Amino acid sequence: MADIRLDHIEKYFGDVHVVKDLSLHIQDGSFTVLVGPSGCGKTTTLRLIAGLETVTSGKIFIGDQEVTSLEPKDRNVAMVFQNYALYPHMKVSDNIAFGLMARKVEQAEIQRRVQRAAAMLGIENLLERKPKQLSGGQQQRVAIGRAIVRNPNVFLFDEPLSNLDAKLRVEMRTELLKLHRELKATAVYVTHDQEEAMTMGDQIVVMESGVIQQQGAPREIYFHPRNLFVAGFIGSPAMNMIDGRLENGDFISTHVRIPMGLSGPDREVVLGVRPEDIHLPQALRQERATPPITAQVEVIELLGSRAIVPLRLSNQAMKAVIDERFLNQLTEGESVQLVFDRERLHLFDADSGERIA
Amino acid sequence: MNGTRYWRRALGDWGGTLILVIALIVVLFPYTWIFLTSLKPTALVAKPDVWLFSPTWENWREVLLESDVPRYLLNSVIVGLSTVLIALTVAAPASYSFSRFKTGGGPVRFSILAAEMLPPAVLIVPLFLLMFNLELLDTHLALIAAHLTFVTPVITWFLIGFFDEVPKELEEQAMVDGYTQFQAFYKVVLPTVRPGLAAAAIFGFVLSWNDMFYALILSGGNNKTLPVAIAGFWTFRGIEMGKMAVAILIAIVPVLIVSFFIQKYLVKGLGGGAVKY
Amino acid sequence: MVTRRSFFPFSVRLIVPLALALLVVLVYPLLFSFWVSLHDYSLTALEDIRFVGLRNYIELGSNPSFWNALRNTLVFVFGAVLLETILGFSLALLLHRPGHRFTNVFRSVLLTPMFITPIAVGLMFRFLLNQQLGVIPYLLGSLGIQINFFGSQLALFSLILIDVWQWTPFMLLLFLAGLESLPAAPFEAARVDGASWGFTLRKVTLPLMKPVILVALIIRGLDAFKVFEYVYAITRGGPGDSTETILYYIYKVAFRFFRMGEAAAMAYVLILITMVLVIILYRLMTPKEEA
Repeated sequence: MADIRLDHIEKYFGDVHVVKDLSLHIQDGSFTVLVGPSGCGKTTTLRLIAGLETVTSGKIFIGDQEVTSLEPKDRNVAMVFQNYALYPHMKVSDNIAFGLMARKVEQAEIQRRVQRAAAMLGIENLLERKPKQLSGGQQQRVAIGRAIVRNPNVFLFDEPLSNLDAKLRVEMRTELLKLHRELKATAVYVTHDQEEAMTMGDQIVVMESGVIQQQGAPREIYFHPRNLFVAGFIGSPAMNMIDGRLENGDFISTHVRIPMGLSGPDREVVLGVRPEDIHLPQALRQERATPPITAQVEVIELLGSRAIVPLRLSNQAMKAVIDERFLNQLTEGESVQLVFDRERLHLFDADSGERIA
Repeated sequence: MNGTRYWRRALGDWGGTLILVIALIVVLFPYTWIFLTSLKPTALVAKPDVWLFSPTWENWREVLLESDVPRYLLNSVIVGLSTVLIALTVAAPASYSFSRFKTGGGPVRFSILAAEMLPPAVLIVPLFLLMFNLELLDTHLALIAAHLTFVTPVITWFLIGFFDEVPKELEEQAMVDGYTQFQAFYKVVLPTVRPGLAAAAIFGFVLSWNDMFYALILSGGNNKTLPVAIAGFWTFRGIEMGKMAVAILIAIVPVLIVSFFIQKYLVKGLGGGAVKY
Repeated sequence: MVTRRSFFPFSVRLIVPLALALLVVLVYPLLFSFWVSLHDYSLTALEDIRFVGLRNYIELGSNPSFWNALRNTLVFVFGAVLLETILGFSLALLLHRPGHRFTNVFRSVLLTPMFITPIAVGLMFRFLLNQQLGVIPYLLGSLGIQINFFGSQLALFSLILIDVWQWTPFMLLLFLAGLESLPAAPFEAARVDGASWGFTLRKVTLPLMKPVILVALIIRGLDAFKVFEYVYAITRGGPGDSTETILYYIYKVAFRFFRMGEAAAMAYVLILITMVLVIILYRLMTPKEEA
């Protein structure tokens, strides 16, 4: 159990600047998710915490100890890899016990811990098997068992669920969270799947190009994205972005004018609105609605109780999520009047991408 | 800063590098020595403690221009090329058959490899007697026949890996386009494995080039090959050692140069075949 | 291309040239050799070739030179292969790290000895290690160490060292290929799990490399059995008969004493030993079926 502090970490691979001046504080006992597109540096950051890579400059602290120059084995961390990384020639119980055997823990204690971990993960009956006789999900549990058994300060997960099929992935998510609560350990979890990040983390760290874009609780990231990237990355279907200008505190774009009452200089801006915050006028209370906007319905993609409706607003493509009760108001190919939820609008500076409101 | 851990790791790295450097010296030392010996004037050859001398090309001149060594060199080349040519012609279709159709399965494929592992002692007596009776001793033909016994299996084995990598669709496309099976093999598949054929040819040539055992017994006189000629320098008088060094260098330098180019194919052919049957 | 109606499928027709070639240069001589081994066939008495059945084979049992040659060969093979495996594996471990910039150069140079014609290697070391003319005894002498490399105690061992110089690279090649085919992830897991380098080597690397090591042992062992050139170049079987290997002895019997029948019989015994090893190799290399 320990907190993790990264201080101004820089990492270069040759000439490539993979991690740029990254400072991060991970609370003891939290489940922190590092999320971002491929190549954003999240896996590298995780490996830096593990000690599998060395920093180019900067310091890393686990608990009170500075671990920057320590080998992974001296950092008391455990890691679960994307492809499980099980020892193919050893049976499951030996795989789990490997770390303990390496540290010369005595046999009886090893037995005890292995049994306990296996019980927690429901794999007691697999202890005598070899990895290639197990399914993906079972192998993943063995990998987790191997991590648990060492009672580390920190658990590191490198996209552990990406190799599993969709249904299994969802099941494992819940299991991992339950385990986390039981073990009360600090966990750092890397994924490129924003949905996974949102459902699992107490803290989410969104990264892009080696830089932290935003750090916070899921709610905050979702409802108050700090810049264009975070806004567009989190949430599915993605947030709609409309280019326009801020003049006299109002948002103006072709065919759209939304009085916003904002102060500040006139500039180019981008208005963001999530698909689920676009409604038919009768669905939203007057006070919360923007003036009506006309758009053309392209398709209606029914998903059951709601539908995703791609729209065309002048020359811009957008998507709305409409409850099925209102679908009879919509006809493919025809124009319809819609309103945005005022309290859920996001305004970003066009140049910097930073949030204005 | 936890410095001690760093030191231990750095020491390990340096230790490893040191061992590698020692190995490098061990390997390079004989080459250097033999090269220097070839440049030593004959009077100094018998003195191991003299290493500062003015080099002379006398040995090289004598061997290259005044001795029979160039003829033996030529013999080695002729035997090598002929062996490889015949071996390739015979082995390529067979390799293809083993790769594509798994002809004969494991046992047949493996007995081909086993043929290469036979000790030459086994064949030398019958081959010698046969050549003796056919009055073919001391001809190139005798030696080529002997070399075929181990070059052909090796080349066959070597090529299978390369044929394995040609996608089946290539020949199927050719046959759909109107070629017969053999034409598809000859005009489409073979050109695709050309690098493999080249590597196999070089490898086979080196094997033939290096053989001394068969050459010693089956060739002699004018048809001696280079290794036999080198062995002929056996009685060491000071005079011969410098020239022997030259002969050795002639024999090994081309092979060494070639080995640099062929290494990556070797890992595929040898290492891949032995490691992942 | 003439398409012929044939009973043989295309795949078999492709092998015909190979089969014919091997039949002529391999199979026929093998059979002829067996025939010779059953006769008293002496090159010096060609008019007097008599059938003697298995007598040549039986007499081998009481031939001390034969057993001496076998024993020398076995000692040679055992010593050489052991050293080459340990050295080759250690070097492979050192060269396997991706960090070094010079790894490729190191590797290319270290692999070269295996390509040299063995007679050249033999002669090179003969003069390098020669008591009077050689550099190495001279250098050792200046350090106060006196070693007679080809004296009666050491001769076989010196030949082993020469074999080690030439063929360790071959083992290095095989082991490198093996190491490179191992999955990388378990090794990272071992780093995180807290395994020291030695522990990882013992518990992960070696077990995973076991098949490669075994195959390498047998291939190199079979090859080492055929040692001849070093003996021919340096010791000619001596001092005494302490370096007379089996192939050299067969050569001596056939081409110095001209007793072809005996030589052929010995060669056939050698085939038997070789075949046993080859079959073991085959079993090892064929992928095993899982139940």
